[in-house]
Formats: sequence, C-alpha cells, structure tokens
Amino acid sequence: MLELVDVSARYNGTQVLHGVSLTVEPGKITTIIGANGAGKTTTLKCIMGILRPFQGRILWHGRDMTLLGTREIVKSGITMVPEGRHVFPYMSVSENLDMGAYLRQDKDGVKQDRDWVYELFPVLKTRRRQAAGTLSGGEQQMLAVGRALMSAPDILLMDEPSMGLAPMLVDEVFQVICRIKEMGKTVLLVEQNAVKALDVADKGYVLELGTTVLSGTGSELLNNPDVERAYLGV
Amino acid sequence: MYYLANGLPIGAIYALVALGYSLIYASAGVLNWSQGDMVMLGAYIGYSLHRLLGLNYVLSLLISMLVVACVGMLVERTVLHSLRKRSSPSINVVIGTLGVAIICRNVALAIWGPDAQPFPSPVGSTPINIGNLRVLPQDILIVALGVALMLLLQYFLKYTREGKALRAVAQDRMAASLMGVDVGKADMLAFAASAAMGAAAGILIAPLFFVTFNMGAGIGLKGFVAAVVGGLGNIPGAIAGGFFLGLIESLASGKISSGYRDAIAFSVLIMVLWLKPSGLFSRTTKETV
Repeated sequence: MLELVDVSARYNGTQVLHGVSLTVEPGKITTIIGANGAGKTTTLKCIMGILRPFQGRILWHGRDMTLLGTREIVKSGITMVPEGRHVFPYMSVSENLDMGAYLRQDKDGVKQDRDWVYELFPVLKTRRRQAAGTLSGGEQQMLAVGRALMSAPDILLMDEPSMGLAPMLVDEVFQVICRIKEMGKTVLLVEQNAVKALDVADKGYVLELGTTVLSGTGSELLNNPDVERAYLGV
Repeated sequence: MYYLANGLPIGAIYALVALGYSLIYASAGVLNWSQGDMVMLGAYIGYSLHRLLGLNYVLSLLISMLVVACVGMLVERTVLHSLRKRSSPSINVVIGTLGVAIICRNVALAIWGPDAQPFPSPVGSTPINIGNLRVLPQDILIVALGVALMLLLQYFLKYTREGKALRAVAQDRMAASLMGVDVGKADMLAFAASAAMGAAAGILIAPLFFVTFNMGAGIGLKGFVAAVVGGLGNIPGAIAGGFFLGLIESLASGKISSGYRDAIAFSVLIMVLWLKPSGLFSRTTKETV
C-alpha cells in the first residue's frame, strides 16, 4: 500500500501541493484526475523522489520514503512512466528495455520479463533493433510502459499515458492498463481523460489547486454531478 | 595520399580531444574548457613517468590516463556538482572550468617549470617508407593507439552497463534517473573518460612537439572546433570531426601555406556554423512526436 499523508511541495518556488492525502490499495487501479496545474504530475514527482515535499509523508508498505532518492525508490518497487514518454531516442527498443532493468541483478527474471513485455506488445519485438526515436507516438508509449515494467515494479505510476495519441490507441492504452492490473500489479494513473480513467479505476481522487477535494470509487465519481460538470465535459 | 598520411595522426589527436568535449556536453550539458589542460597534464605526467622514471611508454600512457581521469572526476565534483547543487546557471559552470584550466597551467608551471621539455618518440624518429610515402613511426603509433582507444570507448558506451547508463543520461537525464541511474555518478564518469582521452592525446602528441605548460590552449581549442564540426554532443561525430579537421589542416598547409593552417581551421568552423550548425556529421534520425 502506498500512502500520501498531507504532502505539500513547491515547484520553482511556488507552492503547488497544499496537503495532498491519498491511499493506493495494492492490486488496484487508482486514478488522480484534475485540471491542468492542479498538481497531478507534481504529486507523482514527489512519490518518485524527483521533487522533495517540504511537509507531509509518503509511506510505502509502512516505510517512510519521503526523503529517499529516486534510485532507492525504484529499488523498493515503485516505477513511473513519465508524461511525454521520454524513451531514449538513439537507443534501440531492446536497449531501452535493458535500461528499465538497470538496477536488477537477476538475469533470468529479466529475460522472463522481457519475453512478457514482448508478448504484451508484439510490435516492440518486431522493432527491437530499431532506434526508439523512429517509433510512432503510440509505439513509444508502449515502449515507455514496457521499459517501466522491466524494473519488475509492484506499483506503476503513469502520467498521462493517453496524451497525444489517436483515439484508437487511447483505447489500447487503457486495455494495457487493465492487463497490468490483471498481472497483479498496482497502478496509480494520472489522466486528463477523466471518463476513461474513472471507467477503469477502482478508486479515484479529484485534485484541485493542490489538494484532494473528493474521492470515491470510479463509478461513484463518474456519477457525481460536481465531477461531471467540472471534468467530464457533460 | 601524402596529405592523408599527414592529416591522420593530428586528426586522431583532435578526435580524442573532441570526444572529451562531446561526452561531457552530451551528458552534463556544459562545455568543459579544461579539456585542453587535461591534454597538457597527460603529456607532463607521461613525460615524468617515461622520461624521468624510465617507465615503458604504453604503461606511462595508461597510468597517466588513470591519474588525469581522477583529476577529471575532481573537476566534476568541485565545479559541476557543487555549482549545480547551488542551482547555478550553466554559464557559471563553464566559467568554473575555465578557472580549472588556468589553475592547471599554473600548477604545471610550478612543478615542471617554464621550459619546454623534449619528449623523444619511443619508436625513434627514422621515417619508414611505405610505398612512396615516408612516415614517422610515431605517426603510426598515434593512429594505432588513438583508434584503439576510440574503439574501446565505443565498446564501453555500447555494451557495458555503466556505458549504457551514461548514454541514457545523455539522451534523457530525467528518464535515466527514473531507471535508477545515479546521474551524478554518470557525470563523474563522463568527466573521467573525457580527461583520460585528453591525457592520451597529450602523451601521443608529445613526441611531435615539446611539452609545455600552455600547450593545452591550442590543442584544446582545435579539439573544440572538431567537436563542433562533428556536432557537439555527438560521439561518432566528434571522431569524424577530428579526422576531418586534421585532413583539412594537412591540405591547407600543403596546398596553401602552413602559416594559414589555423586560420583555415577556424574558417571551416565558421562555415560549418553557418551552413550546418548541428554539425557536419549530425544524426539524421528525426524525433517523431
């Protein structure tokens, strides 16, 4: 279980998070929705240790992670698919996957996970020798997810995985998220596409101006009139 | 053919120095103006080991590379790392490396004195006839060892875990840290490898010239030109740029006048900046959105 307790953080001197509290249950999909600038990405950055909150605590299986570096956090089984994919453009697809497994020592496990990622995304296997920068946007997103899975995480943080993708590919991304959950992994999903995100999520949080203002199951939030008005564009 | 034979050795030297600029620029995003002085330190340490202590030339080269690599790491810690921690802008780091360059020159002056030191070639100075070409054995040694080191660096970057991590940092720093790469350590590695390449260039070129405390300024600048011509931050480009510059200089001194050699080298730089600012050998892969 991942728990954020009253986390506040500044970004470039401006306070962006004003006491975010949320809980991510193991084996479930949790989503954070909210407008641009509400602090969704900042929340993920705090969890990954890229940004250091000045207040509050981040607990992972009860262990305080707040002051750990990114490397330690990745080692503990948390990984993130960053917004905008961020694949290594001049490395081959297969080298990108190697980088995902950078901290792992178990060669057999890495090989197994690589096979599994290729099974999940057959297109990556056919393009495994190609430079990642030459892939299409959708393929790059698959690679970014596959790369994150190569670290054998317990929880996957995903920042706007559907952004900039064609509608057909968006559906594919959400199918992949569900499959990752079926593999027993936990997902924390940040999305602009609130309808789709709440549709697959077990639990959702609404973030507004750096605070969690609402939470509930995916369907509860989908049917909440305030949420509908503000984020679902009905 | 004559110009090729003449341009290759100096081209290899420029390529080694250029690699240093590009490696650091790619990973840490700064220009390291002390690169030329790593060449000088390498030459002096090689001189001390080989000439004064009588150590074998190749062994001296390796030890000197190792020592100068440590100097490179020290530069990274004291200048890049400590300034970055205070979130200083990149220009401050660049000025810091300029300071390092001047400190290096002063220290070298204090240790080895102001006189130029001769460094006879370990393979003698009797030219060898290859076909109708007369080549200095040191020239062959420069090209052979220089190319070997470049291949070694390529192998390191392409196939080792730490090398791949360094490339990852160069391509996307944030993503690399998300993979668990210690980006600070990667910076240190880049500085160490760059300094070592520079040191090798210093010992290899020493037998062709004298070793002086300010030899780094000229070679450092030429190496920088080579790096820019090849596309700053592009590793294969730096090698190509080095050899390209060596050949241009060789042609210029032969066909026009050796007095114009440097002027022509910098004219090439300006032309490249004009016509193809990303470098003559820049990568053609377009990033897809």
